[in-house]
Amino acid sequence: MTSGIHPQDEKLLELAYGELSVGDASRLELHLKGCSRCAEAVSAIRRVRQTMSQLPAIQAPERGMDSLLAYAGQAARRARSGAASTPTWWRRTLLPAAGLIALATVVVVGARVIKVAKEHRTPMALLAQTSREESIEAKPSLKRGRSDQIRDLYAAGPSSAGEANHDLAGDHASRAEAPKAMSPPPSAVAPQRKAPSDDPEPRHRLVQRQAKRKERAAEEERGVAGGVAGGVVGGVPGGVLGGSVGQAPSARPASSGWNNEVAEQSTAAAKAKDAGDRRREAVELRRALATGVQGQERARILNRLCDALYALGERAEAASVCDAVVREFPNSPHATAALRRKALENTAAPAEKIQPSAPSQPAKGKQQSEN
Amino acid sequence: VELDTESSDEQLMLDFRAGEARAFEVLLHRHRTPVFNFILRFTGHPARAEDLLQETWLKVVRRANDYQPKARFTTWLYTIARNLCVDSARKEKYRETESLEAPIGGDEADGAGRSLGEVVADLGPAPDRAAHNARLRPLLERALQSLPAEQREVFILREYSGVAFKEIAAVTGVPENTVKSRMRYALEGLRRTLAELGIDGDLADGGRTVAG
Repeated sequence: MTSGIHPQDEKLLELAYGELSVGDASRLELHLKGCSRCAEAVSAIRRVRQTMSQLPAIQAPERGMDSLLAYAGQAARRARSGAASTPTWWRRTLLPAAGLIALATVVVVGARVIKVAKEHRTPMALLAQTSREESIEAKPSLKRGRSDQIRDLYAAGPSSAGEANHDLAGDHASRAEAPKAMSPPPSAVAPQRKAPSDDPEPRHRLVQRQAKRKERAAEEERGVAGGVAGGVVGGVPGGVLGGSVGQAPSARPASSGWNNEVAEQSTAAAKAKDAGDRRREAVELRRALATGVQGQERARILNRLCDALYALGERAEAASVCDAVVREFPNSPHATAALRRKALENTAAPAEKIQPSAPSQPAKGKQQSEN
Repeated sequence: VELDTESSDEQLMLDFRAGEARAFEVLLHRHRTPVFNFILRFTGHPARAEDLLQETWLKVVRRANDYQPKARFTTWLYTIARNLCVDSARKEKYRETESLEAPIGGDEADGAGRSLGEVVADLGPAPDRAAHNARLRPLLERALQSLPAEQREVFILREYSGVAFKEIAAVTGVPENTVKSRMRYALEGLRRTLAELGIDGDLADGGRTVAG
């Protein structure tokens, strides 16, 4: 083997491996006879080849042969059938394309249908939409003004107190019920989502229309039930609230007025309590209830009345009022407070007065969760 | 299709592409062992070589439509095999280390299971030529594995697979002169290694060769 670059190194290599043409090989062989260096180089290559040829060819393993041949056979069959039937190729290309076109058509048509539905929304769908939005938005602390407006419009008899509660209490159960109660047609669901929040005018009209409808329903109901308090605590022996509160709905001032009235009576009751005149407090609270106050405010007043009655020793009546809270506002902090008060009264001495501030101040955390 | 087992590789490949499964079978039988030896000596790992062999032929089936008749079938075939070997070597970073400790020699019966050192230690005067050959082979494998990969692949393709230098250039993607240059370096490297192992060309001369 040469260590330097001999001009004929590549040719020597080709000679050793038999890659030279016959003519070139003959000429080189002649050269080798007269050149010991080139002869030695070729000889070295041949010796290495000879030695390395001791490595025999190793038979390839048979494993996998069958599966390989089967695979090749399958490919060959496919090749034959593929060549014979060009429509297969067309089908393979066209089918996905047709699918895509169909999908695009559905999307476009669907979008147009939604658009048309939005432009021609049914009153029922809009009503349901408004109701749903309001039930979500009815966070008293954030939407106080609107909440009050709705409360004014929705103020109704005892049977509809629950409905009003849905709007005002903001508890999850009532939120879940509200849309169900309205049961909008399925086609109206999509437009509902696109609530025209930047278009307050039609929505305002809708709220008014909705409120009027509710008022009519409430009036009809009052005619049957015979009064707010009568319905709510009608079962109370002796009609604790029946006398003073039961007349309230019919004598109720215009909806926009009772808010102030309740506030005044509530303040008067608080003053009477501070002065130690629980009797007077109870009277003021009854008057507040007689205005037809609804929602959380009603719950607070009922709780305060309960507390005042217990303080007066009118335990049966107090218990009835607390029961009314539990019944009207189930699973609410007000109901919890009412139950707690009843329990404390039952375990304490009858004449003992229990935490006067508790009724109007439910647990702080719960109060926050309400608001 | 009338299949002539004497057909050229290129014709057989075209026949297979046209849907003649038997053509593939002929090609497989013709080239399976040379390709396996190339892969085995390229990787130095029998189990991996077996997998790569299978993979090579699967690719031949899958890519049958890519084959251009103007190129030699063996060039195409060894290009596939070589690319798979290179990919495998990249994935197996510890391949060199493993192969040094792995049994050498493809034939499990001769010298397999022993390291190079063990084989060298045992390589004393052999009473029997066959036994001497059995001990020699692992050393030759070791000498081959000691070459740099780029020289080894050229040597294997030319020496054991019978691929011409021009074809090797196409398979490896380097100029033919580079291939020949690598071949010269490979031969020089083997000569030195064989001399270090006490195996020189004289062993291959005439009746004194271990090859007999």
